[in-house]
Amino acid sequence: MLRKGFVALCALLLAGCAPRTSDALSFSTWGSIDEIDTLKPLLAEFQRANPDVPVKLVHIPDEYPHKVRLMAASHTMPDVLFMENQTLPGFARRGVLRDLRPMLAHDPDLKASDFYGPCLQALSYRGALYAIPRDLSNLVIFYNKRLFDEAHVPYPTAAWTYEDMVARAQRLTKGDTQWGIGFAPFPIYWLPYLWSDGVDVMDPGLNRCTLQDPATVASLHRYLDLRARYHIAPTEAQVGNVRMAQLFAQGKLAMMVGGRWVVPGFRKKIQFPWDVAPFPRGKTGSVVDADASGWAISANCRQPEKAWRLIKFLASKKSISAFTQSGLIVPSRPDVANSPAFFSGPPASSRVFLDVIPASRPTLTPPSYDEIEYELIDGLPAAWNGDQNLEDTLKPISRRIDALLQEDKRS
Amino acid sequence: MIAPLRDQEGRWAFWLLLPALFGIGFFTVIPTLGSFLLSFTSWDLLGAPQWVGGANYQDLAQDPLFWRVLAQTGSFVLMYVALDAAIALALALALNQKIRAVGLLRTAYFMPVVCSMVAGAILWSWIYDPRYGLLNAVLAAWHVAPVRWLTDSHWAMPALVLVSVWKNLGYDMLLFLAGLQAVPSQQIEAASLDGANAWQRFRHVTLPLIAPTLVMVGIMATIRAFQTFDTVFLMTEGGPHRSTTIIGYWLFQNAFTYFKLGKAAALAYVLFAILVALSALQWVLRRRVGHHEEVAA
Amino acid sequence: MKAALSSRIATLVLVLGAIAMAAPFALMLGTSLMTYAQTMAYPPEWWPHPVTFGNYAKALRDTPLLRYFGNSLLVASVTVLGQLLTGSMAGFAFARLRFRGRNALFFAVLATMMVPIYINLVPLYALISVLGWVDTYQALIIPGLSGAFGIFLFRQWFLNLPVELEDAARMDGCNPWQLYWRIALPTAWPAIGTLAIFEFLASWNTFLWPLVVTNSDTIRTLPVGLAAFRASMKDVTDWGLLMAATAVSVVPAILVFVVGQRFFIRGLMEGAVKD
Repeated sequence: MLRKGFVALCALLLAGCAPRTSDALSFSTWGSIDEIDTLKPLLAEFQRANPDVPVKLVHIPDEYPHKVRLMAASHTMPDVLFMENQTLPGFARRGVLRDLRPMLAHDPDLKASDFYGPCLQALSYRGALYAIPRDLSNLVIFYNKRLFDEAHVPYPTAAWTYEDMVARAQRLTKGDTQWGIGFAPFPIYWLPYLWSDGVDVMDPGLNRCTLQDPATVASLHRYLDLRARYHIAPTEAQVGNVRMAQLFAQGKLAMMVGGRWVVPGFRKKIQFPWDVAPFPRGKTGSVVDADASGWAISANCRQPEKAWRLIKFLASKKSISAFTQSGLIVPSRPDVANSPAFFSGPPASSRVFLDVIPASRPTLTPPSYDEIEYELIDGLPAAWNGDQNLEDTLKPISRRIDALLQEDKRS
Repeated sequence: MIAPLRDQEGRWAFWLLLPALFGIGFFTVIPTLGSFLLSFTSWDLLGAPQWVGGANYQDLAQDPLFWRVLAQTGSFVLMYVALDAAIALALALALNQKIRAVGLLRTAYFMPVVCSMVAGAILWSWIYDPRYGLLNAVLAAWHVAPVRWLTDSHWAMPALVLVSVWKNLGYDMLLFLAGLQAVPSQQIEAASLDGANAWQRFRHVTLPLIAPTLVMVGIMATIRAFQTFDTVFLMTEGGPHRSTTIIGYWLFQNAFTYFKLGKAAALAYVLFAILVALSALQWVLRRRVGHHEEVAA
Repeated sequence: MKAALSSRIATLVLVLGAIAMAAPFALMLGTSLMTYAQTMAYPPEWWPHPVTFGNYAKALRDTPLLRYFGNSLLVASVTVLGQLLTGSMAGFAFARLRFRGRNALFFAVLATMMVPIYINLVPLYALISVLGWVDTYQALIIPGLSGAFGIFLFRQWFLNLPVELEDAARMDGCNPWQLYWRIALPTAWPAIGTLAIFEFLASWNTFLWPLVVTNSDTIRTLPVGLAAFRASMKDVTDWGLLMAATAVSVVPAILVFVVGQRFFIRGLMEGAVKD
């Protein structure tokens, strides 16, 4: 009786150890329903042209990098993965992604020169390329032309400065019903203010936190001043936690810092005329982020040639145009960027998204970036809301970020 | 006649012990050792763990959040144990009088004990709801402004303590009851005949005699409190502003949110060291206190 | 006179306490019988009128609740069987058989009870990951099939086995296995009952391990499923529906307790004594 039990146990153990086999190529991505609706017809077209490459779409709407990591740990990582540059290094440095340079070099149709340099750079790690880019993600200023016209304020210009922006915003603010410029606590939206003043949260070598450096503090004050000194940005007391994009769409916000991804929603909802302009120049220039997302192949993929065929299809001018059509992305391909797919429809000055690329830079993401970002998002609102002195707020945040950067150096 | 069998008992023992010991060895002992080794490595779940020596322990020591988490855990434990022990003892004293309907009462006190912590967390989240919850409705009846129980950094920790106390009160009450019932009634009667009132009887007769039980319950409650995770995960996610981040929760975050498994393992061993120290303390205290009891009697 | 008064105060205190303990469950029941609109009434209403059973229907039909329930039942049942078998066998060996290193081995087993779950969490997860058992029943069941508590419990019980019984059996030529299976185990109903109830409830309610080891709804046990269900309603919580789901998870535990009260409480006391 005991023996039977033992045998049964062994059988159970072995059954669990059996390897998983499947011929279909698994392809994971995040994305809203709209994005998936754009993707599905493309995948169908790929299947028709490539009947020998069945594709299984794995849609992971939230906690994407997290879940992909868990899949990698249990050997169920998808063959083709959509990835973005901020979480890519975490995977690349552990060798779970395939270096795509050889395949790109040998491909007769797809070439590195088909893409914007910064896109390829963003998706590279230590010289190797790990994903073929779909889009470039950066920030511009969206502005409500009607509010400008009504107040007889001149539109933003290509080389306008922080001071110019403040001056315009002051004329566009009306008490607590209308504001000149947006204010959001997430680092992505205020980092351009720092970068344009030549400072950052960390030094380029990721050795220490530079938040308490005088130049950085001065720059953070320039951001805080939008609320605290000039009163041209909405406060939490006035609007709660509403997103700036929502306020803008409601016509209560004259200008906001935003990315291309708001365009589809704006095209549907906004009735007033609007356009975009470059981020205003700070002390050293106008610098925004140059982040990118693209498709990678897992190192353990057993059918890399087939995976490459899928990526090649998705990165073709036709497919990237399909994504660009809705206004969702700034394409990674100049040939799409300079076509009606990108330029038709508001904003009229879409060109701006492309013009700012040369001066922009990818966001620095050390391994502990999640925790660092949490410290900034959780700790700074005390200063943003005027509950605490900015310098006092920065002290504990800076200490923790330093500790985290030291940890990263050691691992 | 009986002797020959005893020679082979070792073999039989082996087979009888094998399943259980294999399970314990494989799923407890080996992971415990593995965890110790892991605490000297850096591992993010991808690739292989990399040896870093004492770096994780160093990182913990220099991480301001580690000390904050320790302090917060300490204050959670203190609040919990004080409240739990006091209420459980009071209830046990009450139960020690001859009461009717013990079965019904016992069921009521044990319902929280036998339901899952998840159920408890959900129930209390509803009670703590700032707008529709029972507690704020009661406050409103007394014209007190609503409290944001789980989103105000001053109230979140006490709110969680209350849920934990509610959850295990029945158990601790029962343990105190067992301790009280072991107190010889002659001593209480003798004190009563000497003219002592209820409080004096309690203070000078009962309390010293149940001191070992007090120590045991106290330490068990402490060890239990140190390992809290479910309530924090489900009700506050360590917030607001990390005010309810205690060791168990932060460990989980380090392992499965930030993927710093080496650091999490080091943290687990710090917790283990604390618990071992507490268990040793209990052992020492029980013997000392027990000794006093013998001397007093 | 004094005795009656103190008895009355005691009763009052206990009843108030019992109300505080049971109130959340009463609230759970009440809310589960309300529609969404009723739960969102402000100022809040406490008695559902009219009473609706719609939440229970919805919880059982439109959510994976039944699936979670089934998973928990499967996992708990198999776990209890495993614990009973492995625990009684090992407990018997420690209690009635003589072999070298017996006491040392028993203390080592006992020591494993002191290890907090966090110590084993990460390596166990890594092990499960490597075996490819993430999101499987094996991961939920196998690590829990044996445990020191069960061994301790059965050893306690078997230590008190009457020597005459054993001597008579041995004289009849019983080997230790037969001694265990035919003589000792059948008398151990109280210990069996205690461990069964205790481990059933522990398995039914355990949260952290299933949380870490499962990802999909098909495998989730009730606590994790309930938490996931709640998370899915984060923005607009339908408290009535949530309370119905919670009730479904709580009622079996309470029933098991009511039926096996004596065993459960004995199990708790044994757990304390071992310290």
